Amino acid sequence: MQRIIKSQRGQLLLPIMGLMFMFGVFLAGFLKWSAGVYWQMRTDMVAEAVAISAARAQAEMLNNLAVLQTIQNAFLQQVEFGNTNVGHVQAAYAQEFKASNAVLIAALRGFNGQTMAAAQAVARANRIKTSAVPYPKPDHHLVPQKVNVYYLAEFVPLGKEVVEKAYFLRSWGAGKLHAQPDHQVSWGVSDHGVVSTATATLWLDVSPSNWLNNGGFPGKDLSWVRNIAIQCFFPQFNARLISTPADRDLLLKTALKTLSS
Amino acid sequence: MVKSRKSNGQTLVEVAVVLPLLGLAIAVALQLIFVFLNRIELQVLAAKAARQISVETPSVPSIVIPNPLWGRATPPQQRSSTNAIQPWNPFKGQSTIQSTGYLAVIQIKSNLLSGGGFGSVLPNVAQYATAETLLEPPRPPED
Repeated sequence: MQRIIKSQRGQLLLPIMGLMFMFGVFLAGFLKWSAGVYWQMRTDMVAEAVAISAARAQAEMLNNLAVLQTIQNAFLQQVEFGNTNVGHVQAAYAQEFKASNAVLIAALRGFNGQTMAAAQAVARANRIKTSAVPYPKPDHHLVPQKVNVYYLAEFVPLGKEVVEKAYFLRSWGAGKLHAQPDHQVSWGVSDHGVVSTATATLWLDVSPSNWLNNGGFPGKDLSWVRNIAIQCFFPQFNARLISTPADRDLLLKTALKTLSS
Repeated sequence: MVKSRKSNGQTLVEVAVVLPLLGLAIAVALQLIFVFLNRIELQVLAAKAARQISVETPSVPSIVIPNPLWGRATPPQQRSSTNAIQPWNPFKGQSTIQSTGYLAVIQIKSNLLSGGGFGSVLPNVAQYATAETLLEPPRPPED
C-alpha cells in the first residue's frame, strides 16, 4: 500500500516538467531569433551610418579642396594652350603661392586617410569591435595638373618653374559640363557574427540650369572658356545612400565572414 | 484501503487544479510571444520600407507578402507621409540647389486579435511600428 502511494505522488511531475522543458526550449529559440533580428537591424544601421558618414567626410573634403583651388587663383593666373598649362605668378607673391599650393596638396594627401578615419570612428562609436571594410578603396578621383609657371616682377620675367601639382582636374564626367561625381564606396561591418553592407555616393547639389555649374571642379575636354583660370564655383558636394550592387555585397560579406572566422 | 482512496482523490483534485492553471499559463505565455514577435516583425517591416525608399525607390513600397505575423493578427497596413524639411534659418541668397529634401514617415499597423472566437469579445488591440528616413532631393542629370 505504501508503495502505491509513493508511485502516485510522482505522476504529475514528469508531464509538467516535460511541458516546462518544451516551453523553455521554445522560449530559448524565440529569444535567439529575437537577438538575431536585433543584431541584424543594428548592424544594418551601423553599416549605413558608416557609409553615409564616410561619404559626407569625402563631400566635405571635396568642398574644402574646391575652395582651396579657388584661392590659388589669387596668386596663379593660368590658361590652357593645347595640352600645356601656362600661368604667371607675381614674384612678390611667390611664397604665398607656394604655401597655398602646399596646403592644397597636403589636404588632398589626407583625403583617403580621413575617409577611413571617419568610417572607423563611426563604427567604434556604435560599438563595432572590428574594422569597417571599404570596397573599392576610397579615392578623391582628382588628377594633378602640371603648369609652367612664369614668375614676373610687374611685366619683367624673372624665372620659370614647372609646378607638378599646381591644381587638380576631376577625373569624372570627361567632356560633360554638368558632371556628377562617380565616388561610390561600399562598406561592410561585422558584429556578433552578423554581417551587413551599405553603399553611399556623392552628388553635386547644383542645378544644371545654373551657367556657372561646371561639375564642381575643372573638367577634361571642355570648351576653352572653362579652362581659363581654375574654376571651382560651387563647392556643394553632398552624399546619399544607394543600394549596394550584388557583386560588392557578396564580396564584402564573404571577406568579413572569412576574417571573423 | 481507506488511505488509498483518499490519496487517489487528492491526486485528481491536484490534476483538476494544476492542469487548467498550467494551460492558462502556457496560453498567456504564447500570446505574449505572439505580441513580442509581431512587434519585432512590424518594426523590421517599417525599417525595410524606410531603407528601400531611402536608397532605392523614391515612392513608398508596399508591404512584403507573405504576411510574416503570427497568431490572429491582421495583415500589416502601411501608411506613409512626406513632409518638407523646414530649415531653421531659411537661405536668403540666390539658391543654386536643385530642390529641398523631405522627411518620410512610415507607419505600419496590425490588429492583434481579429476575427471570431475570443477576438470578437476582446477589445481591439492594435500594434504600431514607425520608421523615419530622410529623402534627399533627386540627383541632377548629367550633360
